[in-house]
Amino acid sequence: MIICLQMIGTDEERTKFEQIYERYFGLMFHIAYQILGHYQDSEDAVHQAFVSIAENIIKAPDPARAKGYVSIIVERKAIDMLRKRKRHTVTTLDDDLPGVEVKYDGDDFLMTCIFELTPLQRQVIWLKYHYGYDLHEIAKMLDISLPWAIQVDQRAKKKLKKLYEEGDEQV
Amino acid sequence: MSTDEHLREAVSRSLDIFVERIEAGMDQEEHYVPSEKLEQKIRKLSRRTKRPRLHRVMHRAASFLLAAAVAGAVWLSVDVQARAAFFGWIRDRYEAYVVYRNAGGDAGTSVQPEYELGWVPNGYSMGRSFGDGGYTYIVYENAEKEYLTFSYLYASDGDTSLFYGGEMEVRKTAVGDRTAELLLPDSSENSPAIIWTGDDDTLFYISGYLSEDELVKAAEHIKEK
Repeated sequence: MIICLQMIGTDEERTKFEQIYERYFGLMFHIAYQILGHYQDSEDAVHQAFVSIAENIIKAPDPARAKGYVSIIVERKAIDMLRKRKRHTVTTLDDDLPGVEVKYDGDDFLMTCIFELTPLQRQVIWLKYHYGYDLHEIAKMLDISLPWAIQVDQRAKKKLKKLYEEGDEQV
Repeated sequence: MSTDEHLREAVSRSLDIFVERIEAGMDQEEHYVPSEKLEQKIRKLSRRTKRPRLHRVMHRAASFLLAAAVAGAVWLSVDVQARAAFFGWIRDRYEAYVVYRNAGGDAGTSVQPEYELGWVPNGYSMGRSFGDGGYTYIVYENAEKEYLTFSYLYASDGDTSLFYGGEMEVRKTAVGDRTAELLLPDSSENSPAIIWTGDDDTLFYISGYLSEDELVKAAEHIKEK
């Protein structure tokens, strides 16, 4: 017989979870609704996002800086739901269903390039470079396989480099 | 391409802009009210997040069953320096785990006593308990949902191992006239624990966010049911 013991939980994570819910439910619902356009489906996407947040609650950012994080997670969940709804179950590394469309009209060309990535590519890039998660953690948060996350990351960086260099040449 | 630092800055700013633009598109007058069904689901999830560590413990126990099956006795040769006899038990280090392995003693009694804590800090009461043959695990909790666990393991046929995870300091202490060990984790994510053996070589273990004195006091007040 083998027995494994470790520490016991505190209430800290619960408070964090509740704070995230209270602060960002409205924003998350809005993101899901923009993608899905349906009240019930949007609530389902928000629920799925919170399932992911609960599963990763220890690694989730503090509520005060979780706005971007929850936006990423719920956008992913809404796109996943959209894919199921459209029975579009297969996706490729360079293709993704549309997420929230944001137009950037500033003068930082690298930012323009980032907004040209597919939703999944920019989600991986944001979680990796802004929040500092490794690809194993990102795969878990976005509910994709690790090999897939690795490929998306590589493809995103390659695409960014290409877009950026092309932009340089045009200048 | 530009520098890595430029990339990181751009990534962070792009996420800020992404969220800002979404918020700008939200109708300030419109308030999204979650349905009761969603609220119920969220409350359920919230309760789940109260005990993430216990879930992981069980998961990790399964992982170690597999690890032990694969590694067999090999791990017992790991870090021999750290090995120490602990009455009828041997304490080893395996990676980041302290392992107590029964050295072959046998309680020799047909009826094994059952135990509980005779003293717990104010506010704690007995909650769930479970056991599996020679092993019993009892959880005490307080109103703030802080947990205190008490477990014991009968000495058996030399095929019993108990793992305690995480980097920690192991310090000698005493429970009554018996030598005990305090497991003091490096990280506040893990709770301190005390471990000692009884007269019949039963291995006792208490873990919780308590002071050393409280752990020793709880240990000195275990009683047979």
